[in-house]
Amino acid sequence: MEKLDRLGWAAGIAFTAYGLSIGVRVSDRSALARIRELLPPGWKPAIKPTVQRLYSLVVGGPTSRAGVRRLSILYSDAARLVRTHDFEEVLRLLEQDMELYIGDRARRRIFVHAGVVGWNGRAILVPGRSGSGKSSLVKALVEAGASYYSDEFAVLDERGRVHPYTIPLSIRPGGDGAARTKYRAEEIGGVVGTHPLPVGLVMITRWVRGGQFRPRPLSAGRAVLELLANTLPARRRPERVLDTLTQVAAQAVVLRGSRGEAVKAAGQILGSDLFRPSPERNAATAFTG
Amino acid sequence: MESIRPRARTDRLVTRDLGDELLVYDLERHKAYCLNHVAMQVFRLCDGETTIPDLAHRIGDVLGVPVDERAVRLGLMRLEKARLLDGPVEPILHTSRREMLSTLGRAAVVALPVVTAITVPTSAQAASGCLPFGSPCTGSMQCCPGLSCNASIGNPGLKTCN
Repeated sequence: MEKLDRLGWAAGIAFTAYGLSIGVRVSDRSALARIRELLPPGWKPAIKPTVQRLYSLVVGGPTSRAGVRRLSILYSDAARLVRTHDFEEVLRLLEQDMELYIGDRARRRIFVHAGVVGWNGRAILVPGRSGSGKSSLVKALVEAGASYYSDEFAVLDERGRVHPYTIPLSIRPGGDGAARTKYRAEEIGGVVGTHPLPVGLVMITRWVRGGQFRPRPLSAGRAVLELLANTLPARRRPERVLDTLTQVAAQAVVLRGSRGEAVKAAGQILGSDLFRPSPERNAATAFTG
Repeated sequence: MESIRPRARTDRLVTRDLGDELLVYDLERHKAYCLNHVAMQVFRLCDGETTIPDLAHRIGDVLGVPVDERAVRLGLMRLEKARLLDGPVEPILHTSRREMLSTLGRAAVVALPVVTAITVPTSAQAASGCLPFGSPCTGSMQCCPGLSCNASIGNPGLKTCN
């Protein structure tokens, strides 16, 4: 780390987010504007000069010698994360690593890998892996009128409520393997949620070509396992995680099943009995009539 | 068999009672289990002093329905496989699961112990999106490096990363 400290750093930013303090220093002041775009929602400038995690970014590019380009190098504390000529790749890794660090170590929040929207005063969680169609379903739900909370993480508090984590939606328009395009919720006519919501529905689903959307309810215990499989600090703080997830499972209906097209599934979800204030709501028949 | 007095493991486990189910987190192996109501009673009543016939009686009393000893043995097999018992259970328990299920018959289905397991992902796995060992899957591309999507041993109709 001392060797890194001795390199010439042109500028830096120190911020706090979710109870953690993080710094990023750069060898080229012009890179700071791009880095600010990557900071997590709700970040604030740090008051103290010391941080818990320090990223160091050596910005590459052309040199005074013709045909020679310097590599960009990114360090997380003293560990080198990447060394490449592709500066966009470096920024992508920096963003990912900051998300992972915050998601794993946030003080008072539990991060679950899931898309989230708000509907009728409750949140709909769509946990899922990359390629499961999570983002497409979130986008379709937002386009159908749900408020946007997150495309990436359900940020849960100790009462099992979900808080907004409003990074742009990241969709692969051409399906798996295609490049991702980022959309702000407002660009697709959506409204961004601002208040924490209790979880009303956890929808564990995967896109299947031509699939029929007939999800079935899961027991509370199985529901917690499904959420646990997507929870970042599950190994680090299992007791706290189990407490939070059992709260979610107790207050929400948890359904699992494959789906076909996102738009159709979104319509079925938002129009289901689950979100009507009826005493006859029934999770088992909500999608089967 | 009369002499078998299984004992449930207690160290390095985190449990949460959900009423009809019990969640168990193994801090040593980072595995999480969901025990249904029958498996939960088997686990709770394994005190190292109670024999299998007595376990069946006591579990039957708790659940309010007769519980077959073979169902208790199946539960013990499943708990042992999940390493939720202290020490190995006698080999006599290791009869074929299929044989046991067939002899238990249809009537016993309501009182069968079920233990569902997952490997808890690391934060990087949870964030990056690959499926850890034991997770349901539809293709090997979904599974974390080193795993592939195959039919589950306990449930051939279900594919899991293994």
